[in-house]
This record gives sequence, C-alpha cells and structure tokens, in this order.
Amino acid sequence: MVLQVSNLVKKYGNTVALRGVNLNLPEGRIVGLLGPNGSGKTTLIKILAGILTIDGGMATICDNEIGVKTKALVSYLPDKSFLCEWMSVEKMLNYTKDFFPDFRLERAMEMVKMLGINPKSRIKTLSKGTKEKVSLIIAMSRDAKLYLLDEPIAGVDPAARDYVIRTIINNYSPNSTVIISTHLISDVEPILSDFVFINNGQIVLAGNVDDTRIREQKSIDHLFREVFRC
Amino acid sequence: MLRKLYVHEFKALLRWLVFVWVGIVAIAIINRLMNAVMDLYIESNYPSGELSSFAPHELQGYKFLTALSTSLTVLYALATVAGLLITFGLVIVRFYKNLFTSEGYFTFSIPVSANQHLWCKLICGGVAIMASLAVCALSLTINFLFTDVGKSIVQLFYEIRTSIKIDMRIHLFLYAGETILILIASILVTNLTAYCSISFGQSFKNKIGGSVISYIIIKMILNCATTFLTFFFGLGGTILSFITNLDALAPELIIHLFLLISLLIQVILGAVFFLITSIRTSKKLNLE
Amino acid sequence: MSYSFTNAQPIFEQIIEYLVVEIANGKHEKDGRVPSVRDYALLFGVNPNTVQRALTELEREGILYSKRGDGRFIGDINKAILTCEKIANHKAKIYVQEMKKLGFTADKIVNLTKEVIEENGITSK
Repeated sequence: MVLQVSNLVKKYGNTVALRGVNLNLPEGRIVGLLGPNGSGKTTLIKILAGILTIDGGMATICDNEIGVKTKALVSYLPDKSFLCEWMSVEKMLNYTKDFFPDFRLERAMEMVKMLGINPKSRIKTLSKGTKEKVSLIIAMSRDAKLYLLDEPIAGVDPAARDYVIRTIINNYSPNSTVIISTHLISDVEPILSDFVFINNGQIVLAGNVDDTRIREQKSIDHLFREVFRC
Repeated sequence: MLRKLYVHEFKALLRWLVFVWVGIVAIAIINRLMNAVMDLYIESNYPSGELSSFAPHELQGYKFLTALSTSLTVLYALATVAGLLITFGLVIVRFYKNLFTSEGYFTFSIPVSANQHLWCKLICGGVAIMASLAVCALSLTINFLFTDVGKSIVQLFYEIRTSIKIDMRIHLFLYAGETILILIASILVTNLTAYCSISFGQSFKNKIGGSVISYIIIKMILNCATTFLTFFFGLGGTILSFITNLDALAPELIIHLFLLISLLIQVILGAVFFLITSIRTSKKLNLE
Repeated sequence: MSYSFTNAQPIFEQIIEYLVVEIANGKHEKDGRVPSVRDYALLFGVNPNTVQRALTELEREGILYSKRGDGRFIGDINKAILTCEKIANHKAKIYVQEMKKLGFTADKIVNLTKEVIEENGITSK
C-alpha cells in the first residue's frame, strides 16, 4: 500500500475541514480526488505533502508516518507556483536536484528544451502558463512513490491541458501512484484508474473507474453531477 | 543534504550582501582618499598651518574641501549603519520569503525538518550580520590605518595594556571573550525575535502587518520583563550581598558574574523564541 | 486528445473495438509488432492500465500474442475479422432498432440504407 489514511481529522479553529477520512491506495494507480470547492481536497493533499499537521486519525505513506521520510517519497505540485522567481530555470532544476536525489535532471532539462524554453531565462520572465508547465515538469521528473497534483489543469488552456495529461501518462509507473485533485473531471477521466468523491470533509463515494462505468452505465463526470447536484 | 541547505542559504544572502559590502568599502576608500586630498591641500597651500592669518576669500578652497570631506565622513558613518540595518533587513526578508510565501511550498516539501530549516536560517543570518560587522571593521581600518587618529588609538591600547598588572590581563582577555559571546548571542536573539514575530504574523490575513504588530508586542513584553528583572536582580543582588559576603568577592569576578548572567539571559531568550517559532512553523503553518 | 470516447461504454472496450477494426482492415501484417502500452496510452490519452486491459483481452482471444519482454505482435487476423463482424452485427441491431423506434417500415429502412451507402461511395465487395 502506498497510502493508508484512517479517520483523518483536520480542523481550522472551529471549522472542521476533514472529518474522518478513510482511504487506501495501492501502487500503480492514477486516482482522481474529485469534489466541489471547499470540500477538503486541498487540505487532504497538503496533509499528505506534510505541509499541514493532523488533528486526529492517522496517515502513512509506504508505512511511514507523514514526516521527513515521507517528504522524500512524495512529489507535490501545489495549485500555487512554488518556483523561486529570481532563479533561472536551469538553476531551479539544479536546486531541485540538490534536495531530491530521485530527481531526473536530464529528463527535466530535455522536457524544458522541448517546450522551447531557454533554460537560462529567469523564472519571473516566463508567462503564467509556462511557469505552470515548468512546475509540472519538476513535479513529474521526480521518481516518487506518490505524486500529489493539486488542480494541475485549472486555469490552463486546452492545449496545455493535453500537455499535462500526456506528461502524466508518460511518467506512469506501476510502482507509484498519482493523486489528481480537480473539479475538471471530464478532462482527466480517461487517464484515471480510480476515483474518490469528497464533500464536506468526507469521502462520499470511491471506486474503480472502469467497473463503475460498466455498472452505472455512465461516465464518472456524469455520476459526479448526479451525486453533487445543487 | 544539510550542507546543500546551508550553501543555498548563504548564496541567497550573498547575492545582495556583496552590494552592501562593496558599498561600505567603496565609501570608506573614497572617504580616505578625500582626507588624503585634504591633507595634501593643506600642506601645499598653508604650509605654516596658521589658517587664521589668511583672509576669508583666500580660504574659499579650504572651506569647500572641508565641507566636502565632512559630508563624506558623515556619509561614511551613515553607510556603515545603513549597511548593518540593510543586512538585518535582508536576513529577515529572506526568512519570510523562503518560508512563508509561495516559495515555502517547495521549502517545506524538502525532506528536512522544520527545526533544521530554522537552525539554518538562524546560523546563516547570524553569520551574515557578523560578516557585515567585519566589513565595517575593515572599512574603519581603511579609514584609520597609518593616520594620526589611527596611530593614537593603537598607542592608547598599548598604554592600557602596559599599565595593567599581568594577572589582570587574563581577566581583560576573558572579558573581551565574554563580550564577544554576548554580542553574538544578542545578534542571534535579535534575529530570533524577528523570526518569532513572523511566525505569529503568518496567521493573519495581512502577514506582514501581523508580523510587525507581533514584533511590537513581543518587544513591549520584553521591555516590561527586563525592567522587572533589573529591579528583581538589583533587589536580590543587594539582599544577597548582605547575606553573603559578596562584597568581599574581588571586583573582577563580579564583572565576570555580570557578563555571564547577561549571556545566560540572552541564551534563555533565544531558546524561548526558537522554541516558539519552531512550534508555530511546524504545527500551525499557513501557506496561502 | 486525438481520440474521443463515448461515456457509457468502458474505455477498454472501445479500445478493443478500435484495434480490432484496424487489424481487420489490414492495417497491420501478421507477426508485425504492435505499439507498446505506453504508446497507445499516449495516443488515446488514457490510463496505461486501461490499454493493458484491452491488449490482454485481445491476447486472450488470440488476435494478439506476446513474446516475453519483446512486446506484442499481430496473431490471428481472421479472428479479428470475425470479431469485427460480431461488432458490426451488434451495431446493425442497434441501428435497426433505432429506425424501428422512429416508425420506419422494413422497405423504408432498406431504401434509406441503400441511399446512405451510395452517398458514402461504399463499393459492393
């Protein structure tokens, strides 16, 4: 099991963001963490990334409690840019390599060059879309056990979305698992092997995408609209 | 990996520090040159040294040069102070930017504990400030080496040294060491006060405003505590000296006691701030 | 992505159909190598596991075969043609049922079909 979460609770003051989340994920899966805004998707991802602490329950990644050890196993792509604006792209890649031994530097360089980005250019000179692609390249060039992608395609043009999807497929390994948190379900549905519906800090529905499509005779996108009808 | 953390931290600070250092040294050199020009001017135009024997209109050049060199000296003094303040500012901004803005997403995803991050920032920040102090000392040397003022300062030190008894010299040496330790400790505590304020400020909507307010509050608390402690120690010391024979203790040892207690206070303060910052950073991180 | 899938049918089934049609139409030679799971996943924009499921199914039916560590190859093309006909049968059933729902009689359906065949320039073979 790559991920084991049981009874996870997280509070922000008096608000309960996660109320008893249970989730187990084996290797080799691409999981869609799907839910409306404010459902707890980002909170869950930040906890798994080790950026927020747990208030109740337990979460382990490859049998390690969330901490320094799991950070080495996790590749986190936040929904905000984490790039150092003052660095050049090349410097940022080397910076990543310095702290993450599993970072595939040459591969990342190749991907950057293939996009026509000059590695010596400073990050603050890049357009928003380009920055997002660079962030994605960095996250996916890690050889991690668990990839956490928080809204990787929101606010991104359709061609760039294709690039994101292709990169995720290209990087797929049966030894690692990817969690994609998004509300743009139809775009990611073809690459998902499993899905998790989350609302109000709780898991509402979860399952295998193919089996559910056979059983429910509809797409996961369609199912989502039913389950979360306003 | 820890080595790389420190190297990166130093490099990030160095990027801006070199400008500060070059600036200070440059102004020091210009100031020194100006003074040399002044000396040359006086020697060549007023060899007798009697300025009062000249009419005002003949002293125009002299007055102009004096004004210029005085301004430069003032500028130099300001530059050293500004340099130190800017260094402190750079250290604080680096702390804030790297940990509490969107860069923090990357920083905290590195397989390094929050405490290790704090130690790194603290040590590198402290070294940066001490390096700036060293540069200021260097610039002073540039200004005063081989000049009359410089020579008289060296003479003063020599006279102090020879006039003190040999066994006292050891104490002076120790006093210097203790004072330097107190200096280092207070630099670190100053940094930690700012770090602690920032760690409180990040909980608010306006992170920078929150940090400033937290800093003011912490400083106020510290001032009250210092006043209280001074009163307490003053009272306690007086009582103690009545009870024991503290007066009989040699004055040089009392000074040691004084210095060591000051050092201890700094260390305790530092530890408290470090602990608070550590808890707030690892348990209550709020990266938006 | 370059291929769009319908919603109700599982994607791996749709991939099977796609490949069977390609093979039956002679796009691949017997014993020719078939693109890898990753290549297909990228082509269709789907999860590699989904492709794997489709290819495994085709292997099971003998339309593809694999050599250890060397990839997959085209096997029984006749099987593919048969499967194609099964699929065509299924689609024809659906078509006729749809026409019946619209109230068409047998003759109307046959004539309509002839018209559409002519429009699409399908030769009789």
